[in-house]
Amino acid sequence: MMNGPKKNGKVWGGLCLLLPILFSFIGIPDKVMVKVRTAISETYATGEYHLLPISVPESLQPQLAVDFQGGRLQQILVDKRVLGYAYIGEAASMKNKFDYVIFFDADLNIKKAKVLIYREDYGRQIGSQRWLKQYIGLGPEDTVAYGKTVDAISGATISAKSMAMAVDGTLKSLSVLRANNMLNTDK
Amino acid sequence: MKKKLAPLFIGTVLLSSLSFAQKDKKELDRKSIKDMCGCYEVTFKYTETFAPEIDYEKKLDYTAAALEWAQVIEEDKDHIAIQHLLVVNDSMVIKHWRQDWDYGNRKLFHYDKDNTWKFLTLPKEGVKGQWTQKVFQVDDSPRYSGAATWVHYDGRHYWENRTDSPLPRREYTKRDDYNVMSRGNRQEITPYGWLHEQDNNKVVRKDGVEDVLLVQEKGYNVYTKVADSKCKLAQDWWKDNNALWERVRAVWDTVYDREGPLQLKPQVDGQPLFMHFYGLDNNSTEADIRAIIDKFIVG
Repeated sequence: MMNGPKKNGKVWGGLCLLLPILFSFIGIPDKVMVKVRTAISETYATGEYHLLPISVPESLQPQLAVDFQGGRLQQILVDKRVLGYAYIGEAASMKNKFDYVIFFDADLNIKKAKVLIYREDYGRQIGSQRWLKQYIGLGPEDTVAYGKTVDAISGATISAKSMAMAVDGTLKSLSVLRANNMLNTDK
Repeated sequence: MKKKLAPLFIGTVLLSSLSFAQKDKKELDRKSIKDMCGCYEVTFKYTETFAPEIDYEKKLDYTAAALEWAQVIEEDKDHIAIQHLLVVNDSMVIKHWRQDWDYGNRKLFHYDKDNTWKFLTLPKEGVKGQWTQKVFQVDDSPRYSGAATWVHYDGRHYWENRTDSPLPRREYTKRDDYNVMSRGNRQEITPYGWLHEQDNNKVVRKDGVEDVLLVQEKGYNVYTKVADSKCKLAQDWWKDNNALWERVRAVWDTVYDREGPLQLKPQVDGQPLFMHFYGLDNNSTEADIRAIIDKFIVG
């Protein structure tokens, strides 16, 4: 009987630690997170990492071009070292929405962009790395202009434009977060 | 009386012409199969095409070239076995794959997964007029097999079939994201030699759930005929080593004489089966060969 409260205390303590992490992924479906985790292993060439969700105060949201709620921005860490960041977003295709992820290095330059789930037959070309690799190396100071700084895709205009706007919005938003000391870019 | 005999006469004539036609067809089939023999410059080209999941990143194309000798090593009225040998740098010969062709054959093997093949007997009606192609690895262990009809129309001669196989050698040690290749094989005799065209599906297979397609692949193995003399090294090698491999085939035949699964270990003592065969020579007995093969058979 004497051990009961201690055990319960440990359980509650553990739950208190876990809850922020659980709720941080609440807006992102499991299927998307499985794909994100696989992509992190491939992109950063490591299976040993953990994710730390970055909470963005709602007061900052009006200045941001993309949604940062629900654990959409994750810091990728190995031990305590920052490997980079993942922004997990949703954007419009012609009749539906698609999920994508943008990976950044510790200096907030794009390491890779990937379309994770696409829900219609038209416009699937945007998933090709031959097109997505144009974003590699871009940072918060860069501007993405569809058809100007990145190539347009014939037959996938709506989705490709949408992805370009999403990348541009994410870069501009990260610039705001950095200016507000929301990102620890110490390596 | 004459009126009654007429239908019988016509029936007999029709039956014998049908029989002749079948015989001619079978001879044409045999000729096409044996047309794959000789010395060939071969190019291998593979490219991944369509993936159901948008986040799949297509792997780099695979291309290679080789000089290959193919010859009939066993033949009777319903059976032709062709051995392929690679000639490397004009100085070395490597025993390559083997394809056996059997007419009206009912016994074949289907690859399941985890290095396991299921041996089964097809119904007699299902294989009428068909040829089974059985493909074996460099050590004469199984690879894949399938039955289909040789087609001869409009001056074209081809055979095509879909069957499952383990990962191809080019990806066997490099990929672990799929475990079964559903192979679309098309072998066509051409004016320049022959073409092995492939429409493959890379599949993830697990017990109790439906197969999941990872990505599709197009493949062209182009066999361009050259003078037999260019493959003399391989011809001589086979003369020197044929006796051993005849015994190896005999031992495997006893292993293959089964219904149900055959599972082989991918490695024993850190080495695949073909490397264990390096220690064999023309003096090796069937018992020596059987002892090596038995080490690889699971259960």
